[in-house]
Amino acid sequence: MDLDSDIQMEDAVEQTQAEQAEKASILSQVPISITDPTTQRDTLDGWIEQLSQCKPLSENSVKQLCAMAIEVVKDEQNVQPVQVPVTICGDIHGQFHDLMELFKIGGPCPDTNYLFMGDYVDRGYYSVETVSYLVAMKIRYPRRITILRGNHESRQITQVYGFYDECFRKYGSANVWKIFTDLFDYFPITALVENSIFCLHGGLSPMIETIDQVRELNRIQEVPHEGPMCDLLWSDPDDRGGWGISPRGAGFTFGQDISEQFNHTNGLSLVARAHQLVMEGYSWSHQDLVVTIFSAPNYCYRCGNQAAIMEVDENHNRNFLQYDPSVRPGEPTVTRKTPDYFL
Amino acid sequence: MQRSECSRPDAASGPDLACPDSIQIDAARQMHRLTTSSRLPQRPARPPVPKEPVAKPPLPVSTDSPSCASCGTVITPSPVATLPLRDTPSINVGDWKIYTARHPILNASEIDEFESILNLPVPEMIFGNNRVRISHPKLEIDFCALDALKLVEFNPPNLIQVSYASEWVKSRQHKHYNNSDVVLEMYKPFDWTYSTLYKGLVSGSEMIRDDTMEIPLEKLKRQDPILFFDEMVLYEDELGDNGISALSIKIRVMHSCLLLLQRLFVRVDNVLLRIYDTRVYIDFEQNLVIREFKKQELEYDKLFRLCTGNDPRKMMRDINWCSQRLPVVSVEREYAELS
Repeated sequence: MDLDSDIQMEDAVEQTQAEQAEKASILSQVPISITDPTTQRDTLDGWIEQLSQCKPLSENSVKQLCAMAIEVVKDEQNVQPVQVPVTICGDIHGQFHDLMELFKIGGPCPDTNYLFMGDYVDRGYYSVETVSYLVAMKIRYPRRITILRGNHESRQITQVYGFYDECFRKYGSANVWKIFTDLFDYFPITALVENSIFCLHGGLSPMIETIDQVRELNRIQEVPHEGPMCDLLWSDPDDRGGWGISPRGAGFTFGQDISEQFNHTNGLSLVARAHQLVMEGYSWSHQDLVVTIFSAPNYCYRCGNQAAIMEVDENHNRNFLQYDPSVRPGEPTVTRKTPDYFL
Repeated sequence: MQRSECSRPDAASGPDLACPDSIQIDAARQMHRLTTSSRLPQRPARPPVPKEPVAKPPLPVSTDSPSCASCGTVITPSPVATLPLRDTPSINVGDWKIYTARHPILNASEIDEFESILNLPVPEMIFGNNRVRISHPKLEIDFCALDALKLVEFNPPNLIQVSYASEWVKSRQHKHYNNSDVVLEMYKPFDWTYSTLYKGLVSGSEMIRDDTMEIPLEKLKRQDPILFFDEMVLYEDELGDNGISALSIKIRVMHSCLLLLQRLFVRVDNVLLRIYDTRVYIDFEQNLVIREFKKQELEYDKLFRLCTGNDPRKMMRDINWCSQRLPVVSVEREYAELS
């Protein structure tokens, strides 16, 4: 059966080799210097312009982009402080056009401050363009946009869920995948909005009682299979109290009592997290102590779900903006279905 | 993809192929091949099947689908790429009615309702309103996610665990932040791979078990015009990024028969792969229904050894490729003859 139950990477339009070669030659002519600030800004603006048309950068540019990005994010903290107003976003998963829609709905960056809670790659068709764009924006406006690490920003997961595949297909080798996954190790893992909203990809960990304990972690590594860093990127809230183990044999769920205790201990009003698909784009749990935000509309091009982002204004008021997939002429918004003589 | 206009002159060979229906299917298949060729490593092309003329006049067909203005034949419903997702048309052939519905995943309140019935967390992508119904005055077969999930086992005797489970649990023993014992409670153990023995729900007539009752593949290999085609997912779960579990359905209706394939595909990374196929074949002329249930399974490592190329895991994501290589564990067949 050819049903794309596990999204296979493919472009909507196949490019001919000639087109690709032509594009590569244009890309290699872009003058690049990462030492002079003016040139650096111009180069970045050029890259952003190119990426905003969903055209990937050359391998060489990606190399420079990621080198610059490491300089920016390596000194950020495990718990990166963020000021209001800010717009908090969840999973994107390579849905580039929907990311552009997100910036339309939420307001353009840098006029609006953004905080992304991870999972930029895998699943969608445009992981390369999506993560390149966000990283370029991060370097260009480091104080205006915060990008956290999700469980998909890892070597192991991206080899299974499409980013590796896409890099190989778009660049002919795994180099770009390697460059990006090396960069992911430096991404901060949590953020704290005005000491009030704790933001992270997954959820809480039984090994973390205070936010200070997150600050002590050594985050610059591949996402481990176990330990507090793993939990922060993987765990889920649950209706049952206490800590639960998934029947899978790995992975925690945390109950409302845990969220109450954690928010109380750390003086928080809210834990904002992503990681789980929700039909309405956002979902409250634990009597409004935890919110799940998911920003990939019509996830995997077939779920029909809405996406949402959460605006937090100067007075800490929260407002959710929900949106549907962007309409793109000539491209399917759901997986292609063609009659076939299956047996 | 747009629906092609049924305006081409009768240039195709053979009287049964005079309607551009067949041209449209070819175009669709070509398009499909183009889009899949980039990701499938060396997919063998299907050898051309000799066309046989239809012997009997076809049964009357009625459908919501439009008819060709020049020849009156039903135009195969093309894939509709719109949001919101909407019902696809149903079709009647003789006494048989075939109805399919596709909808978005369930919303929060619908999920609550499902979970209160099932007493287990529903899969991440739960298309609870998707449905296939095939009905005849004497028999009805239904396919939907809720019924499928009702057959997911609690406390399965061989609970599958992810590859790093023992490592994970071991690391939890003495590392709690205040070194006190953490109460680690396993979620009510259910089969989190959502493997189900669901074969669709039959009502109205009894199915008679007969493993020798095979589905006539030769007839189905014939490229008779497809009057109606649909495919849908009932549920899908990424298993916490440890693989995939997906239950999906494809159905095609021809003049003389229909074939439905419900496929459960489970891949637990570094552990195992599993395919449970349910095929329903209905011969409209003989009013014969055959249902086949086939289980295939293999350890992950063993299949991995058969993979080649730069990105071997890509092959493990190709369900067709896997289905050709997983050994068959069991096959059950049953039938019903309606007169």
